[in-house]
Amino acid sequence: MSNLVHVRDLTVKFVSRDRTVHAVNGVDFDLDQGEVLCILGESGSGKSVTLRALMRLNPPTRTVMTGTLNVGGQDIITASDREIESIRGRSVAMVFQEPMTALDPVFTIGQQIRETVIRHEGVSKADAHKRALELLDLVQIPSAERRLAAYPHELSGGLRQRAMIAIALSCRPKLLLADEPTTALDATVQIQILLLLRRLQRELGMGVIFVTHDLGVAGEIADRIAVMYAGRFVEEGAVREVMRHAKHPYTQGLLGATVHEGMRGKRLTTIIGSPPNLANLPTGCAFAPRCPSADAACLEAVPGLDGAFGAHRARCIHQPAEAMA
Amino acid sequence: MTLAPIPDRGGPAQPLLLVKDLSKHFGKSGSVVRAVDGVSFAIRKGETLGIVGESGCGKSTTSRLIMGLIDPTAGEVIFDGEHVGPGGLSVAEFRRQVQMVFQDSYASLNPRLTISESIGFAPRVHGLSREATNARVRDLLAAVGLEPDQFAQRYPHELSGGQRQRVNIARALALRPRLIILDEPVSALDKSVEAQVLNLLVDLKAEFGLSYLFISHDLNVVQYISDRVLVMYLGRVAEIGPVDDLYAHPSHPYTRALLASRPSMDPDHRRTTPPLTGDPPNPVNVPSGCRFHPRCAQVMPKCSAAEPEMVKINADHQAACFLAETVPA
Amino acid sequence: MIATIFRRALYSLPIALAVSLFCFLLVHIAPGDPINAILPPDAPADVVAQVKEAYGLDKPLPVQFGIWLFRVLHGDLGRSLATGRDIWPDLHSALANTLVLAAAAAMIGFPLGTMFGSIAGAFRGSWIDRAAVVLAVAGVSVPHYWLGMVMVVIFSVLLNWLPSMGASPDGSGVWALDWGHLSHIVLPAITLSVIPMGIVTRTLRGIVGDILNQDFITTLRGKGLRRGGLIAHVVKNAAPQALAVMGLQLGYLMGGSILVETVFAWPGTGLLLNNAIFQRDIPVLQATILVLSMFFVGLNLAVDLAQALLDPRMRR
Repeated sequence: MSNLVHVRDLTVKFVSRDRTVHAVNGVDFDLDQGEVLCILGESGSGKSVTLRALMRLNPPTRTVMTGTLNVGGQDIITASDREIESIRGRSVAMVFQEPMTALDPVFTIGQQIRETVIRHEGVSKADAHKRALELLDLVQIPSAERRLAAYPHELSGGLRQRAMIAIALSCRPKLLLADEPTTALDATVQIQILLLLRRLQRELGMGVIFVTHDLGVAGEIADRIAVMYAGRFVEEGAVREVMRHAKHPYTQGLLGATVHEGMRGKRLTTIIGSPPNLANLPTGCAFAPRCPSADAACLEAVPGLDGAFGAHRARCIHQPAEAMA
Repeated sequence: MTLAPIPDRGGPAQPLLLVKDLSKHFGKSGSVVRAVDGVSFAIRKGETLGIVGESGCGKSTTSRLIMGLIDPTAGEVIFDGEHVGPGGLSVAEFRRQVQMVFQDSYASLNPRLTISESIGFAPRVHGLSREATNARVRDLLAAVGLEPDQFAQRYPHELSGGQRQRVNIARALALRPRLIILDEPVSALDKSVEAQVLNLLVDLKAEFGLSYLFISHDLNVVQYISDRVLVMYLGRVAEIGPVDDLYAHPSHPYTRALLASRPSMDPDHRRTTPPLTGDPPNPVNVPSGCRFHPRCAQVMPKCSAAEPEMVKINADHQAACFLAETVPA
Repeated sequence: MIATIFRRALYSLPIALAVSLFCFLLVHIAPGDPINAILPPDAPADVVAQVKEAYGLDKPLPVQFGIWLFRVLHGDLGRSLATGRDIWPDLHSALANTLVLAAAAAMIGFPLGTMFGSIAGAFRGSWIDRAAVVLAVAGVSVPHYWLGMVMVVIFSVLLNWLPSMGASPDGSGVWALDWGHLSHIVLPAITLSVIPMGIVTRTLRGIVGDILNQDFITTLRGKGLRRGGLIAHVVKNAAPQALAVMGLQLGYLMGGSILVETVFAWPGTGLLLNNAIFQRDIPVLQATILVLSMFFVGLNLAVDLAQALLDPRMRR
């Protein structure tokens, strides 16, 4: 098994006394070293839960996971807490959406970088400090020494997210998980962070799984795109294929609904209705109730992803003719 | 009593809303935050004016100043030829004619009132009878695409974000306003829902003869919905012009950078270098001269010395930059 | 930082002034001529005139306040009506006893409350949590004096393990650190510690629960920190708020021990106040309330500064 990430039939359920939420319902994918996969989806699609499952970061007491989930050869589902703790932050690291709340407000940036290095590499405080300086340089934070002594609220949004990335990279992870890392940022800062992540990914040869709701962001950074709906990948393929020749009606709808240049004056295509309740999923294709080309057959069974791994494939029995994106 | 439509006064050539030298400075001497600093613009009858800018540029403060939610440090608001405030159009009357929709659809609604009560509140206060109000609420719900029988008696928490934003729009329409200020109305919504709400806004504008002031950080959305666009930077107007002209021929270096920051939507022609470095600066310490000069790629010595005047590029397009040139017609 | 200390200290000045004004006015609020409050009703006329002049009662009120404040600042708190002695020496020893009792109660209540509250907050919804909540509610709702009397009945009367009254075996009212004195403080300290323990439990449960729900906890788990590392973050985040609550509680312990001190005949400010109230000894009342209030103001300032020291966001 040479893949960096190997996922088969992954399900994640959140169980509480009064209900069970089926957040992820059978996800399969592989990720190679140095590859960038974007998981594209709207709120409640299960994209963030999938990402967190890769580090077992979902709330431990309520989460039930099944399937196969291997990261760097380590079985994540059956690993002991101790094993998971030594993977987190070392071989797999994560960048979050909102750097203001994702950083501890009463610890300096320097302390928050150093503690990760010390935790995993057992180096001295002085060496950890040296590494922290290098890391700020790597993520292009100027006047590093001063910024290490700063608290999160003393930095601008862009610098905070760079510091968050520095923390994630502090032990040179093989896999970087990014949960909408540019969504909370201003436009001119968003593109800086996006380009920074792309450069770092190439220089360090990391595998990256990048969760976003923004097709444009995915287009800038992804090698492959997986479109997620109601806890399943409904379409997966190379970035060009998915953006230009979308197969699944949901992806086509999403492309039509995303406002971009040259749409002025035209009516936007919309997807009618709203996503299904994850506590009570319909049988068959979860998108069928909102799908313009759905029929009785769609409700009989969950359609499989057609085609081989790595190919451009979609979870739809009708595969309507290509729509122009 | 009924809520009669408000008649037009000055005719189509008179701007619906005129904002003159509006300023808002927060804080005491020493650390003054110049959130809005001498902003002037007009909204014409029947148009959508988009305001774009990044955090701290003053776009939301501007909308709150216009609504009178905060008091301006200086400046004047003129509505259909009439000064708003003492001696002119009363604030109460102005607020009937100008309504606002906010980004946070949930916080904007009283959680203890049903949808029907929320929408009907203002008409009732304005003296509409209970029956007339109920009829109006049903019309409004239908107008924003919510089935009245199904939604009128629900509470905000029982609705999705998109549905709540429709309710907020219906409520804004309740007093038959002429101008609606939309402050990031679709920013919190999913893309598929965003498209639904944008379509709705386009429809309602035509149906009720509205004008919009549309504030957003999303350049694509602003381009889609606006007739003219105003770009703000650190409390000042950087550029204003017709949407196609401004997007095709941006004259201010900041507008160019902002437009170049958008994702390419084309995996074969990805962005290679960020157009700007660093974050938008804090309005506490505004740079001397042109406020954009510390981040500008084309900065010249005089940029830090003097603040550039608005330069007319063509009849309708202006930019505050020394490099902007008038294009011969 | 020094500027912060200075500014915060400056902020507490008006509060202190307002409190002194209130204490000063206490004499004037009391029904009848203030002189009746200062002197016994049967005082001879020349004494009345003498005291009137000495206290400046013939002068306008603001001037009187100025004179009074000047005296207080020089340590002259006046004389007791009941004993005729200077108030300060008695108040001084009473204050020391109350401080010892409050400190003892705090040393029992705060650590226990912190422990119960933190565990409850970390395991919200578990049986430990429910037990801690029951304990907290019981602690806050049980009447002090009733608990005190029950303790006396059990440990002094029935078991005869611990003394039930006074601060010292010799009855002198002077505190010392030995077994004799310690045995006297056990029952009142435990009785007094129950309320702060309940409140600290409840507050820490909330604080710790909230902190554990914050996004940065997920980040820290994502960095691979183990329990020890996480606890360090929770402690530093919880400390400013926890400190604020404990500071306030210490203040309440100082001023609120009146019932417990009465039950156990503990020679502290509470007992002093109690006696002063029953003897209508207004000068003693005035002085005691003033000193306790100033203590409270000072405590608040200390809490403020400690918070600023612990939380970088408050250093402004």
